[in-house]
Amino acid sequence: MNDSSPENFEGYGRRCLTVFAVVMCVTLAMVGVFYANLSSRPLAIGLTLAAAVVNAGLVASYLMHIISERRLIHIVLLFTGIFAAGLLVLSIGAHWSVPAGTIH
Amino acid sequence: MDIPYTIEARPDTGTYNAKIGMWLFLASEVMLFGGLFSSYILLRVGAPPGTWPHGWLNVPLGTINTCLLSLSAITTLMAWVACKTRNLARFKLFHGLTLLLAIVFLGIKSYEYRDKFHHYEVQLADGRVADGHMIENDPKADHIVLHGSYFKNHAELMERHPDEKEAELTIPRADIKHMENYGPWHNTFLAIYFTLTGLHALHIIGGILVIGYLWGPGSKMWYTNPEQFTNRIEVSGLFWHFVDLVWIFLFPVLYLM
Repeated sequence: MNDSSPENFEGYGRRCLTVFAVVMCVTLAMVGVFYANLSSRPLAIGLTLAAAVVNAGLVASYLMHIISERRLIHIVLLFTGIFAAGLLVLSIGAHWSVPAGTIH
Repeated sequence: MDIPYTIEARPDTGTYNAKIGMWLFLASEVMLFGGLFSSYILLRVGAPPGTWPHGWLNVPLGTINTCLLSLSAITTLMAWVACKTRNLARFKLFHGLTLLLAIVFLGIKSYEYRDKFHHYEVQLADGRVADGHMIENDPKADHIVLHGSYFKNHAELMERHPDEKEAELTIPRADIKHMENYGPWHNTFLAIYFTLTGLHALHIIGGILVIGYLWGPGSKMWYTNPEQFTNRIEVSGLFWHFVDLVWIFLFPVLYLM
């Protein structure tokens, strides 16, 4: 996004509005799943999480420009992703290694 | 003394320093929220069946707040585009809108917090639970008045439905075994709810301060160094998008799941 002519940014503005519209539609779909009160709770959780990941992907890729960012920033984000995923895996792993005799 | 690489790209990184700095800061923020999300998962997965609340939060208000924050992400981008196309009036308009949307978001959030502090769970001597918003709680009176409904037991209270019928309940104090509002001390869910949304709200306040400064006194830089000012708007925008990104996960995790 180095060419700062108004024509160049006109298309960019339209793309941002499209991303906003998609994010809104996905959000409303998530809320719809909540009100639909699906009989399978794991299915509802799975659908809701998938929708959240789609929204986050759109915001990060297009609004934060990750899609067109420098390689260095991609590397920083890759390491962040690995450490954040490790944090989640450790937490979930801890759930399966509760000391014997623990009472809930 | 001039600070290097505020406008031009550093040869080894390929971009200006503030942007690299902001991405490194955001990486540390991912770890901060990642730790709290991990705690949430651990608490939720570890909760015995039937003890994790569902439907306790106001979904319409949460949806409105999601719309407001997503819209503010667009207005902050439009403000940056206005800087790029050298249009200060447009920048002021869009950045002002971002500020307004952020303040409305905080207003709705504080309304939700207030609602929780006025919401009570009252355990009765006969084993039932009365749940609702406190209308009358005069310590001298021999009764309290709630706007809510009765539940057979505590477990029934965990699963709320939007179509529940509520009425005014007058409860004699002699029948009350225990009474507590929905503050962070009430249960694990509310503790993690207040922690996550409170930390997020602090980020919103921080964003408002930065955006407000750049919209007001900080915009003087536009007349002396528009390129550096545009880069500041881009970097503050990155932070704002991150705040939006966190909410994109907080809303479904806390309100819908």
